[in-house]
Amino acid sequence: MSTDHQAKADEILQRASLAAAEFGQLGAAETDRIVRAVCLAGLENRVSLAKLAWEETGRGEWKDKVLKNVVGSLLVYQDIKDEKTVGVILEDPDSGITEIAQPLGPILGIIPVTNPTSTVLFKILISLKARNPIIISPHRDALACCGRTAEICYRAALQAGAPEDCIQWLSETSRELTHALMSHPRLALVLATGGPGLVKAAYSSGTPAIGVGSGNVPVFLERSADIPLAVESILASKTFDNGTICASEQALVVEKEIVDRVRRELERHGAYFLSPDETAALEKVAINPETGLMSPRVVGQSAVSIAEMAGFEVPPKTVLLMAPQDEVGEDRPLSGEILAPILAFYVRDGFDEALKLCIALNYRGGIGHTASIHSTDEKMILRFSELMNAGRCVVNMPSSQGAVGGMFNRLPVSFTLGCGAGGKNITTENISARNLINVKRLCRRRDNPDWFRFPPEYYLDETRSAGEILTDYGKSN
Amino acid sequence: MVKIAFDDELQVLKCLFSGRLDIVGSSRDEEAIIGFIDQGAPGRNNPPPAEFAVLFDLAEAEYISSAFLRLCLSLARHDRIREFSIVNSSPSARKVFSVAGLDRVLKIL
Repeated sequence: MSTDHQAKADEILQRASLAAAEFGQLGAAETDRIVRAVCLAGLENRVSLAKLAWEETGRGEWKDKVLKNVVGSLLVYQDIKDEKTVGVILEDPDSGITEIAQPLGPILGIIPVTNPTSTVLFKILISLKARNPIIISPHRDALACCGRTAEICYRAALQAGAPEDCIQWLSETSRELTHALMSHPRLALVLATGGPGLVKAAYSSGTPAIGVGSGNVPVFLERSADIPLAVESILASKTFDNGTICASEQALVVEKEIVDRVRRELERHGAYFLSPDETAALEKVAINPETGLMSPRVVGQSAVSIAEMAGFEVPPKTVLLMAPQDEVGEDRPLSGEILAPILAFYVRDGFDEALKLCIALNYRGGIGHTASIHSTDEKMILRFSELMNAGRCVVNMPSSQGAVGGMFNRLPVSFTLGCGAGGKNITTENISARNLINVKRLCRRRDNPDWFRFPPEYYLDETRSAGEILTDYGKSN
Repeated sequence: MVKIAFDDELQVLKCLFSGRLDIVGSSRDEEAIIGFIDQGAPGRNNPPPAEFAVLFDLAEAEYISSAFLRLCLSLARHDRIREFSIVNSSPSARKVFSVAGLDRVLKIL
């Protein structure tokens, strides 16, 4: 690593450490005032930031990015504003345990190109709510829009009494600088939202990290589903910002009994079913043959332009490309994750066969992320949810918006979706301010009468059986 | 407002801080201290000698900002200051220096 990168990281972390020290002195009311001011600043600039993100990244739709910014500011704020993150957060007189929140320290927020400004707003709000300074490290294709967002938030935070340097942002980035920051001894946490390589680098840095996993979201349209509502939901999710949310549907699995109705409904709403030749042509542009992963060229592009790239024409009002598939696997490139308006389409005879296919999709690169079902049969919903390895199983709603939370359900609002052990993460939670505090436990003496019922000699007696001990234990109550 | 006094016998510049050492207070106090170092106090004919010690007394300080921490760092590295010390820090002020990692680079008594 060059000394320049190390020196830059040292300087950034020096500033952040001073900010962390000052931040720790603020009380709950002062912290909440800062968080509110930042929310308002983000919300006020929702449109200009969305346009900036769209112009700079060339991905998605600016109108959808406005809504993402509203989620990243207003909905995140509504979700965290009453959360206790300062001082005593819980008192339990029975157990004698008092929980006290303390900040983690400087956080490095890695920002993806797909949701840049909204993720900046989200990460800044949850970090400040927990009294942690944050350093924003954007994707190289989103430096300007992320910098502008961070600057707007910083000014608002300072005006509301936040410490200097509580928000810093990188105006240039490189692998070396990111590594120097991630592995810096004064960094408390890496909040890594991005591709698998970046998340792995965060985990390997030696600094605690909260990462995400890649998704490959199956959506199961079960025979009892309200088909018009299901199709409307799937389209609202998969076409939103041209499919850039990692919780968007990647493969639609339909029971044979209802396939004709589903297909008609999809076509009525602007979905275009590809022929085998068109599917083959699409595979070539949508997937990098060397890695087997999605090609950045198609990420966040419209259905019409992707079809153009693939060399065929679709009706101008097409919003989604449906790619009929038979099986799942590496030899079926479109059965993996593609953050674009492309949806693999499967038909299966009966619930069990459909469920088996959903499991195969889930285990093809999407373990721990999100699964979606449309059904009115609670038994089937539960069976599906028990078998999917997913942090979130969303039911009868758009998967993207459902997984992010706050719009169609009461999940914590988040742009960083934990994927559990399957996704190589520590948690399946929707990451929020509560994940960015250390909880101290003040433990008052409360003797356990069962433990003190017998003297140590009782346990030293080898002739006493385990069953007898287990029976005796707990009789104090 | 910082109270500044120079102990001619011990060659120590003593600074007694009070109130909130936020960005406004720290900037104001920094200006006063640097002014004293460069030019001496009003009514005092000569500035401090080429080399001297500085002692920050935090007995009456209520809140410490990152701006104040930077002031401590800059004085500790000042080429005319042979020794920089901080005394009478409260437990919460002491924690601020620890969180910032400055307890390892500054002399906090």
